[in-house]
Amino acid sequence: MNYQDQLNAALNFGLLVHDIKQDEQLHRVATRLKPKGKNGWYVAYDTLLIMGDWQTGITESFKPNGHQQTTQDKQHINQSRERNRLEVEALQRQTAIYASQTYQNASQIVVHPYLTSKGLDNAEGLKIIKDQLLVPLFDLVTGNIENLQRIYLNGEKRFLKNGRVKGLCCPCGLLNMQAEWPEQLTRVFICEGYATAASVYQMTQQPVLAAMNAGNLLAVGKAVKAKWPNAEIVFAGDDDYSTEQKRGINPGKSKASEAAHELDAQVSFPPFKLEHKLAGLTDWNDYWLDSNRSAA
Amino acid sequence: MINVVENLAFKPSDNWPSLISIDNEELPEVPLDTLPSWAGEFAVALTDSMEIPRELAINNILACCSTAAARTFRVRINQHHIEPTNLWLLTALESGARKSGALKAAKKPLAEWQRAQEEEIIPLRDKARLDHEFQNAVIKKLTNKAGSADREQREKLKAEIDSLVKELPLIPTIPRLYTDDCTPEHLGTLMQENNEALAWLSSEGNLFDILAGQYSSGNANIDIFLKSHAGEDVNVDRGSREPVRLYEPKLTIGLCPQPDLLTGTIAKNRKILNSGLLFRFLYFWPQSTLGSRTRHTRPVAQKITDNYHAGLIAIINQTLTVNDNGEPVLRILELSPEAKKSLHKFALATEQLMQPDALLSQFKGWASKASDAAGRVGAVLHCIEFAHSNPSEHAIRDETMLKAICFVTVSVKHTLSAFRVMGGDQETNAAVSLWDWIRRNKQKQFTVREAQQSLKRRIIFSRVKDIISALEILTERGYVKTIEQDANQSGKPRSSLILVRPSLCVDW
Repeated sequence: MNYQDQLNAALNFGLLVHDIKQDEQLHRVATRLKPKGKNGWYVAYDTLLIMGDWQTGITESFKPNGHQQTTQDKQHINQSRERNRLEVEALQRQTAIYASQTYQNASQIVVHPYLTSKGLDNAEGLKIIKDQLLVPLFDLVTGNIENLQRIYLNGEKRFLKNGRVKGLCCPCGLLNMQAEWPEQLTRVFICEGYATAASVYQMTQQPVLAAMNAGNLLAVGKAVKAKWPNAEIVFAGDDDYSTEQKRGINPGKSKASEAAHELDAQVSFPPFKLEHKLAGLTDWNDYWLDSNRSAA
Repeated sequence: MINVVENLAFKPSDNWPSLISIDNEELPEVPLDTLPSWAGEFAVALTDSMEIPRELAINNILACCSTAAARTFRVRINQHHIEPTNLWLLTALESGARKSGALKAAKKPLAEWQRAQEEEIIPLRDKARLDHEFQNAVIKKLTNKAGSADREQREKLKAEIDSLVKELPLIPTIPRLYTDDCTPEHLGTLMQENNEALAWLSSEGNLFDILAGQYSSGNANIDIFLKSHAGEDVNVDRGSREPVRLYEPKLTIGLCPQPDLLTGTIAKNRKILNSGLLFRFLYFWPQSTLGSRTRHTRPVAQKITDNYHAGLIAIINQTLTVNDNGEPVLRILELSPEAKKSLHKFALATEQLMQPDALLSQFKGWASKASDAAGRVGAVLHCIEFAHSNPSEHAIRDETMLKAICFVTVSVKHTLSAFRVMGGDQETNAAVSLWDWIRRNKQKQFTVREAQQSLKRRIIFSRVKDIISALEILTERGYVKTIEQDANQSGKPRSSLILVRPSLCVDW
């Protein structure tokens, strides 16, 4: 009966599942927002279901109405979490080594359809391997590459499996990307994707960090605060208008605003007209491209 | 453009709570792979081709498959419980959402089957009618003659008449699979003529107008609908018409009305609300695609349409089996042990949800039928899977049953939403109206007094407290914030100031 409650909860949350595997492991699943992707996840215990959506950054836990967790239950869940955490960290360490080596061995970019489609001539710090564009993800504090975002010819983006993403980012406008960050920064922009970061850099000529997704904006903001406590942060957020129309929430705007609020920072959203939003324009790269086209 | 990112930078105002949509509570979607094989392919293609919500395609197809399956199959839920396979599905969608087109595409094979039957049967029926009339005339003549005959002659004529009566030709009726407009009384007759199975498939909600008594001065016979959902026997004996005897009637219903039906005809009719009829439907209230369609549609591939047509006809052509007395009876579909276990688990879970204060505690009438509905859906999905062989030779698989359970589970939230509207949750409806006023007038901030002055002519906002209770709901859902203002210089309290969530009024 608990199983059915968990299935109900997962469906109500927006995960597209037919079954809940109560095996205490992380399962990646499709969501209503992105039925063809695997942006949703859950971990199910006998008495607890934890689930989330990486796209919206929303996490929720569920236990059946009236169910009282015993001390034994809690201990079991904590042990299992600790076990999973250690496993995940070990995997992340291995992935970080692989990411760094892969990046070192990759070639410099000449041209790539993704960059062309985004209107970017030069892509600072990006490399290429087997037609895949490699976006390095740095830990700002250590200066190490810990993960890579691979962008395929069809525009599909993937992180390395088992790699860390939270708090990592790809900088634009910070020369010497390897471990030699400036001592001080007066202002830094943080946005979601690499193309957006490159476009914001083109427009501002100031350092920009690509956090890769809306759910990571706050974590990158905190890393900036740790590295450059006096830097003024501006979150150059996306405006997910069509998601807002479908789901009533605008993850790009709300995550950027929440992060700015928590870090006493600023936000800036592309000033799209309604027709642009209806045409599917969402981020500063879209705005930059559209403005360049209009100017031409 | 260079400094536009910097120029537009601002500090966000106080943190707002997460926004919970009020227009249509966030309702889960039916997984696109709910329907198996040819029906699933057709559902996906129809959804893409017509740019309609997937629930509209899936439910219309499922209703048509249930129409076909209910003629031949029942499903054994457990040792003592057998359910028919007729489903009642209601998909509420606004006008212009291509409801008629979707239903037309889904039921096309049924319509063509009916037409083919008509073409075949009409000449036979006309001939049988003629023979019947002729033989009746002979019987009448002999009866008249017997009236004036002597005793011996009369006995002889009586034997002759008896034999002629026995030989009266049966007049074949034209088989019908569905109707979309019919009085409850005639529905019984139609079912009697069609092996007690029929469907009501309509892209409108006229069924509820009929049930509300449109043709019967407000006193429609709802019983036949209630009994035909469960397969309970119906006996209608009225002096003015032929009696109707149905032993196990099976009525499938597939409706796609406008949401106004829920708030209008149904919400206003106590008889329908209190009859239990509404508890028999699985409701779906999908997000409309209107306003986000690309209008670049392409037709469904001919092969997919042909497969759907062939599959549905194959279910219709499944034959009844015979019992020990040689009488035709419905075939029984069995659940695999795993499927039985899953369904049992689902039944226990819904039982739990009926406990006091649980999600379905106010809707026990619906919840108590949910697991049987899942069993029925599972049976229909199974018939789709094995349409081209004999579904009763295979047990219903667990995977199929899980999909059915998932389908009914998705319906839970939709159903609660529908009942909330039909039951008339006036405060939420008022909150929706107030938000509509704010949006239309682009009110980034306003006072309660301004809102009341502007809306006082509307009966739902005739008192200030009506506005305040609607505002409380909008506040809970993160749409607005109330700022209490200090009294003015003369000490008179100022009306509260309402701030609209900035992210919602960026374009105003």
